[in-house]
Amino acid sequence: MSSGILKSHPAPSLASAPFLRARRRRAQQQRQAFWFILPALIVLLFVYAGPMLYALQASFTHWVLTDIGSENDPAGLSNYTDVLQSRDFWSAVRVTVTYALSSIACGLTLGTAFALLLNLDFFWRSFFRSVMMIPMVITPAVIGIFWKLLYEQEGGVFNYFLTSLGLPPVAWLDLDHSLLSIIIMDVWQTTPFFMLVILAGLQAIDENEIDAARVDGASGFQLFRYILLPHLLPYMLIAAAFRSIAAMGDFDKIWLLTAGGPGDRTTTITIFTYKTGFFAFDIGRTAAIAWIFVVIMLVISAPLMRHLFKTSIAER
Amino acid sequence: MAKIGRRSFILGTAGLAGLSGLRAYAADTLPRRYAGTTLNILSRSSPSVDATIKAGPQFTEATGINLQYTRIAPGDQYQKMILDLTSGAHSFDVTLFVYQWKYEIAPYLADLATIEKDVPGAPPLALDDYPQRLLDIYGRANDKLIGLPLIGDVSFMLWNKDAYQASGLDPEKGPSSWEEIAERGRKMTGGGKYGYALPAGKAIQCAVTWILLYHGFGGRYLDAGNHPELGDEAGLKAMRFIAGDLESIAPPGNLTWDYNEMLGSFLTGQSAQGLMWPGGFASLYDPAKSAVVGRFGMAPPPGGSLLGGTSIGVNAKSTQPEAARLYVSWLCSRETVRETAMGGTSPARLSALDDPTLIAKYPHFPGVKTAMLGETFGYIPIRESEQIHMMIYDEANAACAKAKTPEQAAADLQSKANEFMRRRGYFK
Amino acid sequence: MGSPNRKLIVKTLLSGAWLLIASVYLFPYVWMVLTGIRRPVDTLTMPPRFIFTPSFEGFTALLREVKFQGYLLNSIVVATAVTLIVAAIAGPAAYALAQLRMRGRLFLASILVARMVPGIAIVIPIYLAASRLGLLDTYGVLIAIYTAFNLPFAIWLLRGFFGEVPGEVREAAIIDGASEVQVFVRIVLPLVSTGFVATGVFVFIAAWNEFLFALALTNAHSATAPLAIIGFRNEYGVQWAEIGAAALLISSPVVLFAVIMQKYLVRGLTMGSVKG
Repeated sequence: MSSGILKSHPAPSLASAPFLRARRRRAQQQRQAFWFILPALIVLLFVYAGPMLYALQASFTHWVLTDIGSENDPAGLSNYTDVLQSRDFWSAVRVTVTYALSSIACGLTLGTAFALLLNLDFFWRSFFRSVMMIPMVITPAVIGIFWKLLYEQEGGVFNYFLTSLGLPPVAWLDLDHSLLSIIIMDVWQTTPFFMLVILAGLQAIDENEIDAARVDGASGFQLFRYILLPHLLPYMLIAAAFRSIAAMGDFDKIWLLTAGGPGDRTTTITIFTYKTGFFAFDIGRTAAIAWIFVVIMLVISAPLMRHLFKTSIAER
Repeated sequence: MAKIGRRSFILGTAGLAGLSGLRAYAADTLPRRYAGTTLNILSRSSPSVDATIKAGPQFTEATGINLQYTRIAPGDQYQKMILDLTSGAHSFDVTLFVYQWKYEIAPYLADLATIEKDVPGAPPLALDDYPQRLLDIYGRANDKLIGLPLIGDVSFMLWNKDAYQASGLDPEKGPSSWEEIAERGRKMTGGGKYGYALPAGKAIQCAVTWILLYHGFGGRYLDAGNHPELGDEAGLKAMRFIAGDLESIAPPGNLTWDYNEMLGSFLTGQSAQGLMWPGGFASLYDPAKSAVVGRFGMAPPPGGSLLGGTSIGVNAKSTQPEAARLYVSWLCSRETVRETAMGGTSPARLSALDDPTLIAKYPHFPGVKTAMLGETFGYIPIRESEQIHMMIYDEANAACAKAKTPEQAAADLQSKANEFMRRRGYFK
Repeated sequence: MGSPNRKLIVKTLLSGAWLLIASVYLFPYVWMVLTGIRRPVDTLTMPPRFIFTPSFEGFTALLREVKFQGYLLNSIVVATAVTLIVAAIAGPAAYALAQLRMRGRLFLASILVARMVPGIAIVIPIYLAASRLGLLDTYGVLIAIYTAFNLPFAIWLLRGFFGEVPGEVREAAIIDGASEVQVFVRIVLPLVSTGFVATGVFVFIAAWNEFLFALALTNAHSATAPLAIIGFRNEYGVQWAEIGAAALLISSPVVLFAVIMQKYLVRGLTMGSVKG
């Protein structure tokens, strides 16, 4: 047994065999672990890191796809300054943020309401639960194309129902309503997601707490506000955080419903990037937009990432 | 891997009936040495090219070369084609294109001038059978012949004679100015009918309409120093006119319209006036599709006729260069052009436009020929003209949608075009 | 006392309420199904005709003219391949993160970062790289991209599932002389089979539904099902019968899959978002 060389370690001495064996085994473990993660690391490097670095390099050029040789034309930071000063870019940011925040707020509210209702006791509960999941898994591209029919001004079903209830028909895809329309479409698709997460939260609640509060005479509303809500808050936050990141990257359904129009009312950052790249073929500028977008995303998702990182480290 | 043939549009029976009596280029003289190969052809989904696709099986039978078409909407073709050509992916051996793209794609297309030498047995090119100016515009770039004219297109203004009559207008007298079009259109708007089939979508036909207005009001694209003048007096007037006068007499939902929808609106009788290209005329004569057969008039648009037109070219990186050239020269040969013209594809060849059998079926041919040989103007004469068109239709669409005022749209168009051309080095 | 009766009444009322809620909420989906099985004229006339003669002209047009079978086949091949490959790659990585003591912080951080990067940011450089390498319009490029996209989420999910396995299980086996790989394959893997199924369901659905990269990277040879739906416009307007049929064919597999596997879906969702 050693004297005071190892400070707080009650372990065997440095020179003892069991300790060395343990150390060697740990090193061996690290090496083996490395092999376990290597394939994933390679794939991610190739598909994410590689192209992003390629894009970074391109963003400092004046590369236009139809202009042969322009990839070698240096542009310095001009692509970045142009984008950050362009009104179209900031309009796209505004549209994206409005879209994301609105649809999450609505989705969360509606999803919580559905979860509360689903948590009650009634017949065919699991049937309803599985059937409510359908909007969540339908191909977003299909939703985009299909809601065009629903939103049709003259022959569309939504307007039919509105007029049959005595309400005026809405021009869903015009200037004033198009942003609202894509938000509604997204809320329809993502509410089931919120519903399921909140439902999980509800089912994790301690029944005793609820019973105790009931015994104490708490009303339904008080129950909700002082017990359920605080308990559900972390679930809501996580769901909202994940969904906000996904919402900012939404492309398929918006592109196919409005193509960013009318005008640029529903042009999100993703649509803006897509058009710059695949219609104007301005690769340099597209790369700059893409990188700015990534930085924005990382900044926004930093709190979430830190939280996830910490909780996962803590788990071990 | 699964091969997918995209859906091709089957023309009405009228086209088929018209094919009798005219045979494509003599099948027995075509070489069979490329039998078994497959050519991928990038084509359009608009009805104006239907006849070219219908004629395909004759070629396959004669040469053993299989033809696989990808038909996409005209608005999507530019993007798809540029991406394919610049990526070197050579998914297509043969592609249709419109001449305003030609400088951008010229480096990627093969020189067709020597087909007769390179591909023994190929039909003669007969280049003198085209109006020479047309051949130059449609097919020549950087001293190469990169395309053969396939569809001869000159813009026309159409009017529905019945609608004119019903509103007390002389059905034989076409409009002589844009203001007249708007005024007459207003008279004919009402009760589910509209005065003008305005394509206000973010697509080329919207830009075409704006360009016709702009030119009609005196606009001339560029000044002496190569600066764009798209927001000047003529440009502003054009923007106001399209967003105000024309949009107000156009059917609702036109904010997504391109060629197909504008044609559909006129031929169903929904709109009483509209722009059209000869390629769409075949549908207008087809009683199975058209409600206006024999009841429409045509004249050059006021202020000058825009020259449009589609060419066909061969990908320089094609893996079957000779087979592709054989196909292209066959499709554009005199005989095949007569046959496809019968089926509705508007020809660019003088021999077809002069053919009495064809004129009997399509009485507008002499008008088209005169227009083609006469005074026409083209698209903005810069290499990246399509990018400018995209700006034009973006702004015009925004103005029509009332997303911005016409003044704002005109100003934005000017500043976008200006900045773009400065970045590309047209001026300092 | 009437209490059990009251409970019954409440339950029935609630079920009725849910029937109403579900019908209203799922109406767009129902409408889509209807559009696929009836004639366009029935779809477009108002008031909505709920009684109609079913027509499969959309389907026949789809199969005969559009050759939808090809798209479907491509989707099946790609989605299945991606699911299997992701499982094979994410499994070990997740296991290593969860069970093996390693300096995994950098790796974990990169997983998180990758999860936040939107597809649009890399679609252009990937397109350019793929075109340079001649990989456009192949199965391989789609499978590679989709694998990378789904890896972060799959690793995340599986890590949670692996984390539920007590560390002692592994340690006991190690002491008994098993190698890490043997422990992983023989002992731990069977314990997390539900986790793999849950992850597989997510990955399959994600790969099946993906649109942007399929649009950018594929052409006639390897276009996947969602792309089939974009071309149905001609001078007569939009062809809703074909679109409806295509929408049905594209979404039915995932809908069925989700309904059958809903237990796993829910497990995966809650695992992935709740468990941090």
